[in-house]
Amino acid sequence: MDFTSLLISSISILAIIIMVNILISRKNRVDMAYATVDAMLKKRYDLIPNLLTVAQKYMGHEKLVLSTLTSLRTRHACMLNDGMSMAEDKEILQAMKGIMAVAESYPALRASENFLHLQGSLNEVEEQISAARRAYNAAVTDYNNAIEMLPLSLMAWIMNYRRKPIFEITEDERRPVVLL
Amino acid sequence: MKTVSDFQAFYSNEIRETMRSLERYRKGALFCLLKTGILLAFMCVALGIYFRVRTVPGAWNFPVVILALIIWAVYCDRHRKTFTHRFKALVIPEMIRFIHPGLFYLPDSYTGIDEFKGSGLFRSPDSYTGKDHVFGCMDRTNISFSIVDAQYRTEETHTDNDGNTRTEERWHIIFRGIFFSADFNKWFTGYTCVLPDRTKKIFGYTIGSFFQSMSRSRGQLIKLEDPEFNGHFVVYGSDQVTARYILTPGLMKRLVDLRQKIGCRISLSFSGTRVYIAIPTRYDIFEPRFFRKINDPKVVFTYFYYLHLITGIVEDLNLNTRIWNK
Repeated sequence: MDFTSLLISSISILAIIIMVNILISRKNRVDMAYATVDAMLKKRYDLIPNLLTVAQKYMGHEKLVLSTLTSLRTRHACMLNDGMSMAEDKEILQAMKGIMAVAESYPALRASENFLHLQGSLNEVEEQISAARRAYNAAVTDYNNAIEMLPLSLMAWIMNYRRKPIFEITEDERRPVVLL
Repeated sequence: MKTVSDFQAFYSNEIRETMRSLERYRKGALFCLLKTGILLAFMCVALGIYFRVRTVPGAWNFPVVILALIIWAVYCDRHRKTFTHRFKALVIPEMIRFIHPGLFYLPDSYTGIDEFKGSGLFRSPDSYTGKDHVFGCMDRTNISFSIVDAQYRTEETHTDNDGNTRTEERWHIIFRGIFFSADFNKWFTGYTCVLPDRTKKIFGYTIGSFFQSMSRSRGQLIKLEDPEFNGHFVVYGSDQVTARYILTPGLMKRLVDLRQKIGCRISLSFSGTRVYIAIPTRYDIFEPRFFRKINDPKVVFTYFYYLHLITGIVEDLNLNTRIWNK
C-alpha cells in the first residue's frame, strides 16, 4: 500500500471516529438534559408534603382542594421512578397552583413564614424546570442539527439515529391567559 | 425612580445655593490663576530684558519660561483639585442621597480588588486603583460601584549593538471604567459570564459560533434563544441549566435594553450570587469641569443623568423582585 493510500485511509478512519464521537456526545447531552428535567420535576414533587402540611393547618376545611393533591401524590408516587409524563406533571402542577390560589383567601396563611418560604421554593423550582426544559431544547436542537446536516447525517443514518422532539406546549396553553 | 421634574425641584430647593457658592469659588480661583499667570509672564519678560542688558545668553530664557509654566501648572492643578474636592464633598453626596437615601459615597474609596478579581471578568491586575465609591442598599438590593483603573505590566528586554541589555516596563489597560456589583435576586451556584460579542459580528453567526465554542477558558458556550441578545452578547458558563435559570427571556431582553441605554459594550458575570457589570468609559462621571460654568442646571443634570443611569441598573434588571427564596 503506497503512502497516499495510507494517508487517505487514515484520514477517513479519523473522520469517521470524530463523526461517531460527535453524534454520541450530542445524544448523551440530550439524555443528560432530559434527566435534569426529571430531577427538577422530582424537586417540585417533593414540595407537595410541605405544602399539604402548611395548607392543612390553616385551610383544613378546604377538603376538595387538599384531597385532590393528596390523591394525586399517592397515585403518582409509584410512577416517579419510571419518569413522569407531561400530562401527569401538568395534573400535579394544576393541583398545587389550585392550593396557592385558594390560599389567597387566607390572610393568616399568606403571612405565615412557612407558606412564604414554600411560595418562594415553588417559584424557584418552576424557574429551574423552565431552565432545564430550555437546556433540553437546546441539546435536542444541537442533536437534530447534527443528524440532519452533512456530513454527519450520513453517519447518523448508518447508526440509525432519529430526530428527537423538543418540548412543546399544547394548543390550550398557547391561548392568552384570561384573568377574571 | 426620579424624573426630570424631581431633579429640577431638587436643584431648586436643595443645591442651587451650593452651586452658586461653588461657582463663586471657581471664578475666584480662575481670577487668581489669571493674575498669577500675568505676574509670571511679566516676570519672564522682565528677566528676559535683564538677561539682554546683562548679555546673558538667550538660551537661558527657555528654562525660565519652562519653570514659569511648571509653577503656573502646579498652581492651577492645586486649585482644580480643591475645587473638585469641594464639589465632591458638597454636591455628589446630596445627589446620591436624592437618588436613593440608602446609598453612600466616598470619593477616595473604590471597589475592592477581591471583588474585581472575584467577578472572573478580567485577568488579575498588577496595578489597581480607583475612586468615587458609591455603595449601600436600594430597597432590597445591596449595590456597590466605583471608577476602577486596572492594568497589567509586561517587561521587554532589548539588546543593543554593544550587547547591553535594557529592560523596558510597559503597562497595559485591563479595564478602565465603572465597575458595578449588586446582590442578584436568585440563589445559584457556578459561574456564568455574558461578554460582548465580536466574533459573530466579524465572521458571521455559524463560523463565529464555531470559534466561540472552541474557547474553553470561561467554561461551556451557552447558546440562548433570543436572537437580538445573541447579536450583542456571547455567554459562557459552568452549567447549562444554571445559565438559563439566571438568563431568563425577560432578563435577556432587559440586558439588551440596558446595553442600548448605556451605549457601550458592557460585560457581565454572575458569581457567588452577585451580578457584576463592567462598563468601560473614559468619561469621569464625578469630575466637575474647572474651566466651565458649574451652576447651570443642564451641567448638573449631566452628573445626575449618569448617576441615575448606573443606579437604575437595579430597576432595569428587576433586582428588587424577590419572589424566590432570596
